[in-house]
Parts: sequence; C-alpha cells; structure tokens
Amino acid sequence: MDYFLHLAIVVTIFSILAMSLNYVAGFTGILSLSHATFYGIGAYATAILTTQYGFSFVPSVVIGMVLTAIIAYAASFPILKLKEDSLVLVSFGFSIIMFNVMLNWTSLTKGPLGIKGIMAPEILGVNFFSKPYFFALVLAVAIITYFFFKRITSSPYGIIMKGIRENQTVAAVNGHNVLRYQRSVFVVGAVFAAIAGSFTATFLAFIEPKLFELMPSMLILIMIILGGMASLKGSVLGAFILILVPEALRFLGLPPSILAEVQQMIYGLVLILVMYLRPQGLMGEYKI
Amino acid sequence: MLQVRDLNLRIGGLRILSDLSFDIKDGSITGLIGPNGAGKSSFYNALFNLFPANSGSIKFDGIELVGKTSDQINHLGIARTFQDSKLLPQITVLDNLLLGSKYLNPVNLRRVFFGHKTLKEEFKNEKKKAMELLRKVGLENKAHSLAKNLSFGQSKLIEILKIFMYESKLVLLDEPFSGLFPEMVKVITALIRELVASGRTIMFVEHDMRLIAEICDHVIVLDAGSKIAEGTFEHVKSKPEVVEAYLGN
Repeated sequence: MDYFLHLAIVVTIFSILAMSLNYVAGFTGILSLSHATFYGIGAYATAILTTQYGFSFVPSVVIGMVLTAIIAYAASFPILKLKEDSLVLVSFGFSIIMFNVMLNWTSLTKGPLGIKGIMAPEILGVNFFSKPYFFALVLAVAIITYFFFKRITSSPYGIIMKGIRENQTVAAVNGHNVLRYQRSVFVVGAVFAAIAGSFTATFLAFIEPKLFELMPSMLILIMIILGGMASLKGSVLGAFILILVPEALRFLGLPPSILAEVQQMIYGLVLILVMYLRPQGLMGEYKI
Repeated sequence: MLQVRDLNLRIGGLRILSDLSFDIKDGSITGLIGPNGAGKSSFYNALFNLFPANSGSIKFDGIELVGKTSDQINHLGIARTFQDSKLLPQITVLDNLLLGSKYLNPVNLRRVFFGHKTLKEEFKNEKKKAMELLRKVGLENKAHSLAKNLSFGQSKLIEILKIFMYESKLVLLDEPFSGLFPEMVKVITALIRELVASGRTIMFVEHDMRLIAEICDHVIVLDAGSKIAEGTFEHVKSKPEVVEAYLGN
C-alpha cells in the first residue's frame, strides 16, 4: 500500500509539472527546456527556508513562487526574444546556468551533497508526514492546478494563447500583444512548476541539483507529447504512463545498476514512437 | 484617413518601396494594382510594421503608424487579410474568427478570474456573432472543425469574415479573389460590398481588372516599388506607362 501511495504521489506531482508545461508549450507554443529549473527553484526555496531559516511550509512555498516568478520574468527576456529552435536552445542554456548555480553555490544549496532533513508539510497544525495525508494534499493542489489552467484555456485568453502558438504574426495583426501574453504564460507556468518543486522537496526530504537538470525537463516534455499537446487531461495521462511503465521494470529483475538507464531508453523510445505514430499524442489536438 | 508620404522600404540590398506617397479618403474603395513584385503586399506589411519602413510616414487619422507595433496598429482600427490564407490550421474555424474579436477591455488573467461574468458575457456575444457570420455563408457546420480541413475557397471566405468580427475603420484586402471559383468570387464580392456599406474604408490588391473597374472608385498603380499612376480606373488605364508596365495591350 505504501509503495502504491508513493507512486500515486510521484504521478500527482509530475501531473502538476506536466500541466504547467503544457500550458506553456502545448497551448502557447513556447517549447521551453527550462521547466525543471523552475521546479528546482521551488524545491530549493522550500528546502533552504524550512531547514536553515525555520520557515514553515506555506510561507516557504509562497516565497518560492515569488522568487520563481521574478527569475522566470527575467529569463523570459532572452528566451522569448527568439523563436522556435533558437528559443529551445536559449532555454536549454538558461537551465545549464541555473543547474550550475544550484551545484556550485554550496554555502546556500550545499552543492552536490544536497539538502537533507526537509520536514513534511504542516498546515494549520495538521502534519502531512503520513503518505495518505500527503497524497490528499498534493492531489488537492493538482485538482486546483487543473481547474486553474482549465479556466484560462477555455476563456478568450486560451484562444489568444493558441493563436500565438499557431502564428505570432497573425495573432499580432489581430491586435494581440504577443510578447506580453507569452511572458505571462511563461511566468505562470514556472510558478506552478515551483509549487511542484516544493512538494517534491518535502516528499523526498532530500534534494540535490541532479533532480533538476536537463533530463527531468525532457521527461516532462515527453509526458505532454505522449499525453497530448494542449490537453490538460493528456498531461495527467502522460505523467501516469511515464511514471508507471518504467516502474514496472523493477519487477522484471533487471539489475539496479542499469535500471535508470533502461528507464531513460524507454522515454526515448516513447518519444520516437509518438512522433511517428501519433504526433498529436494520445489526447492532444495539436501536432508539433 | 490614410496619408502615405515618401515611404521607403529596403529589405537587404533590395529597394521594395521608393518614395511612395498617396492619400486614401474616408469611405473610399481603393484598388492597389501592379505587376508581381511591384510592392503591393509589401506596402501592407510596411503599414503593419511587419517589414519596418526605412523612412517616410504613414498617418492614419493623423496618428503616425511608423514605429508602432502590429497590435497597436490593429487597435487603431485597421484590419487586413493576407495573400496566402493565414487561417490557423490547428485551431477550429470558430476560434479563428474569435481570435479577431475585440473586447471592451484587454483580455488578461485578472479579467479571466475576477471579471469572469463580464468577460463570459462578452465572449458569449462574440461567439454568437461568429456563428451568425458562419451561418450567413453556409459554413455553420464547419464551426468546430479544424481550419486545416477547409477548402482553399472556404479559407479565403473565413479570412474575410474575420474582418467583420470588429469595427475596423480601414480594411486592407490582399488578393481576396485569387484562385477562387466564380461562385466563391460572387460570395466574397457580396461580403466586400457589405463591408463598404457598413462605412468601412477599403483598400484592396487585386489582379482582376474587371473587378477593380467594378468595385473601386480610386486606383493606385505601383511598379517596382514606385507609384506610376493614380486616379479612377478609366484614367489610369489610359496612361501609357500603366499599359506598358502592367495592363498590356
């Protein structure tokens, strides 16, 4: 039971991440490889503030969100100035820089040693250490995330987002300030990634920079490509499949030393198959 | 309404528009004609700042357009279509029309969450308006289809319908009839007449001289980025330089 709850929590956290990236990439066409960076900033904010400065969970999450919003806003200037392939590469460059900040600012992040002993969330006197409680909390946040993005994407704002994704020139000629919308979407998506990061930090009770490098960004991207671009339900489905299917490998008796590599090969294979067989993903409406 | 003065546009080393100057009167229908490569579509692109002008001025109701962004220019009340259909293929026909909608206040997250009722009401009205337009041209059954599933003629039609989605004062049409069957030409001509009747000022690029003669009250002829003649169609077609550069014998 404990194992299944563990998986359910991981799937739910990744669902938040996938929905937030789908909001940015699937709905608006900003194919960013820096999502794990914002996930990391949220995680580090909660880890540092709760272990080193005595903050409780909620203020640490809020500070993490604000900090992420500021950094994402600043990063949006170089990233959104470019389009398509160039944008992807610049967002990758940004994530390399931020990864190295997490790795080398040892006085704050403890570098490669990571931060240990991060306490479980406690809100209004209720401790969420036990897995059922933690799952209920993160599930509630995931449901709020879903309805938050649903409300935006099914409003006129969502039509403008999709218009920008399809053709920025047409969106601008139709009277929409493309850069302003893109910037808002990028920052909001990053803030939700930060929330997922705060939950990851308190769930694992330990974080290290490796958790927030390129591979997690790729994994979240593959989740939304598999589940379907511009589909919130597809994001959840993508997270569900890509967390659970590789997990099943544990039962095939593979040596633990190669398990992570085989999992990554599965992610790669899924990406190739989806792009060839169903480029709009399982529930998506938009082909890359 | 529109004053163009000494407009110059260069792309790379190429001179696209040279010292272009003309006026467009309020409520007029002006045809912009000339051979391929004369700079007709480029003028539209320069007006919308898609190709920033190198020098000169374009004033709309006294407001300088050069230096403004495309969205700002649209907000002043100028709409345009493109020579090649620019319908967005992976969104629905209805959403393509709604992308051209104008709301009382800018659509932002504050309005999505805290002004939800008013935005919802406006959105409902815009949807109703879009559906009425689709019904008028018999395409209401295509409202929820992706735009990529439309035929070429239907795409052109939807491009024109987008113009009706908000109260623009000046409409720039870029070859709205090219590649269309005669039946579709009739439908689009009727829509253009409706645009004119609604008081909009129209400027359009077209190669069909019969339509230009029929619809336009003023014609500007471009060749190699320069204006070579201007006036009524009867006037410009009598000019030897126009005959030589474009109309032929």
